[in-house]
Amino acid sequence: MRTSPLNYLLALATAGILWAICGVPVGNYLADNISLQQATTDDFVRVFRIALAIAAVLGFVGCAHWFFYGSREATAGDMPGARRVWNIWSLVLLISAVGMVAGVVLSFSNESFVARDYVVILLSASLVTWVLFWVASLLMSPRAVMYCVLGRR
Amino acid sequence: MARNYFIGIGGTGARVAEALIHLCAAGHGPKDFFFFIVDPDHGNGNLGRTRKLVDAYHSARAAVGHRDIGGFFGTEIHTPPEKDKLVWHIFDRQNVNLDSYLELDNMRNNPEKAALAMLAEVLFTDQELTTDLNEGFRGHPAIGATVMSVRDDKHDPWKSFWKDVAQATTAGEAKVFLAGSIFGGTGAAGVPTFGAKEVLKFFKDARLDDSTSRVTLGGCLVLPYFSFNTEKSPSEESKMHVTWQDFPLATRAALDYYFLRKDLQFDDLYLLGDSLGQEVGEFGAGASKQENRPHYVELVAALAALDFWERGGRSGVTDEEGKSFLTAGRDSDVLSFGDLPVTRLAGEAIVAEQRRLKFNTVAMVVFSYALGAYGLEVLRHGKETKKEEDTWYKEMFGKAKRGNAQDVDPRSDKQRSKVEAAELFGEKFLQWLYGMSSGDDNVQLTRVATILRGATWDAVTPKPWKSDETAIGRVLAEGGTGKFQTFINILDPVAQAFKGQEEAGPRMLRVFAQAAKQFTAEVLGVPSVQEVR
Repeated sequence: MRTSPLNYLLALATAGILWAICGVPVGNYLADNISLQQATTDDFVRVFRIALAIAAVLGFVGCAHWFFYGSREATAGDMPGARRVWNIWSLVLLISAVGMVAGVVLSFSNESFVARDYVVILLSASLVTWVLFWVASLLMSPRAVMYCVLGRR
Repeated sequence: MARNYFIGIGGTGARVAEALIHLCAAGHGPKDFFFFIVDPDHGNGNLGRTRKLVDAYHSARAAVGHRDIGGFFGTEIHTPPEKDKLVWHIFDRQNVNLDSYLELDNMRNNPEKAALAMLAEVLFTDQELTTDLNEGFRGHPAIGATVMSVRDDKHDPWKSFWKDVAQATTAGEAKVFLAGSIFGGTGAAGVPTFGAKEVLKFFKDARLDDSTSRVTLGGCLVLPYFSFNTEKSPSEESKMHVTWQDFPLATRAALDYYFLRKDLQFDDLYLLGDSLGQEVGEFGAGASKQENRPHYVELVAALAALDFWERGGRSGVTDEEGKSFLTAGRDSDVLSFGDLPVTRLAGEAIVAEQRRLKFNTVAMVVFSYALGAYGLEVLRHGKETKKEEDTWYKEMFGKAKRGNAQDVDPRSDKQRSKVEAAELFGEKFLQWLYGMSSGDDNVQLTRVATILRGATWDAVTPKPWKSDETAIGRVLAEGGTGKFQTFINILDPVAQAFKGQEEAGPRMLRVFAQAAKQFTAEVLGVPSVQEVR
């Protein structure tokens, strides 16, 4: 699971599955439960799914770069540097999850959402960004850097 | 089974012993051998270096339970049990000269022996009779021959030597190899003296019957191969000494002697020399001032010992007197592994043995460098530095906090000292290789200078690998590529496959040894070759 190209393919598949889970059932849940005054639920769900897709792509890009970085010969013997790279990607993806929530909210700036809506959107965004990255790096990192991941240090 | 013995005679003999120990560390030696040195010079710098080296070798083997480390340090080197008996100093007291040794005063006062005293005075000059011999025979082998024919067999090293030889039960089973210079003092005297019939090969403990001996006797005579700076202080000027300009005449006289003496008991005799006259250091009549840089001829002499132990005493194609003569020489001034005379076997066997020597030497370079430039650095990391360990370390020692930390944690004092013991020898190995080539562009066995730093050859240490990660890739004389990170990456699968149950220090050493051999073969492109028998 840690060798290329298997880890890339598995990370891509996982990103797709997570997007499907968050985009379809969760999207439908939001469509059924969200209160919109001006926009339609179809518009909202479409924007939600597009934002989620962008976030999932970013999440996969993070995974792919981490796998590439960890399999480089030059990375061996520079574990502090590898740890820094992992931490930076985690932070970037965490910010992107928050950014996705902000993006959706700003797209419907005339609407008002309840706390539950924000939580669901944030959880969905997190799942396809930093959670995807963390799980993928925990299970699929190249051996050289597998101990740089939080939870295995 | 053959028993192997090495007797190094004089300063050259000590340096050949040094080369032999390094070859054994690289995994190129025999299963075992017993050795000691003959030298009246208590403080000889070359001798001191050899003593420290054999101690370091024993420490490295002791660190892993007196076994090999992944093929390195595979030879068990036996020395006399008492530590200070590695060397036979010939004289049991200080301030000995030939006059006092022969007790000429007593002879002169004894009418029955006065003529003998007069004969001695005719054969030796006043300076030869009165010079202090505790710094060696100063290039006067006639003095050495007089004193070395009488041994102290009741004490080590000869006591242990004869006790071991006497255990041989078949003819020629004990293979005794002598090494010394033909042009100096101690070696020039000792080699022919020990080659005499009753002195060694047919000594009572070696004799099976009047015509059969337990001993197969080999000798290596090293002809002039170096020069040294002959500027000397006024105090040295007044002492009896030899200069390198005297070597050719001394050599000619010695070769005539060997040609004329038909009763020497050598089964195999190797003669080695080099015409380039590499300068190996400053003038020193004796004692600690006499410490010369390593020379490749000493390595060749050590290879002669290995050839002798493996194949000595067996006849090949011979002339009507039952002798065979083999020669080897360099094609040019440049020396590479392909120029070394590694075996008496012909054809492809020579090439195979040269390749085996190259692989073992380069792999030992990688092993030594990896320990010094990286291994010890890893052991210095700890909680206080908060640095991440590489995967191989985590996999092997990640659970070191559990169990007996002294055995399972390589960073414990006990385990780290084991790794340091091997690293210390590795450093000396690199210094020895560097010493052979420093200041002489003709010796192109390796380019260890790329991975070392330091002012003098005997003070160089491995560079930190991060200062030049491609240095290890350029260590071959013919150049090459490769990064040290590749070695680190190799450590992980090697560590995964390692099944040993030893303590942490030896486990780490064995993993490094295996990784070094894999790096040598796969990255540096030096293939591993099986020993030719």
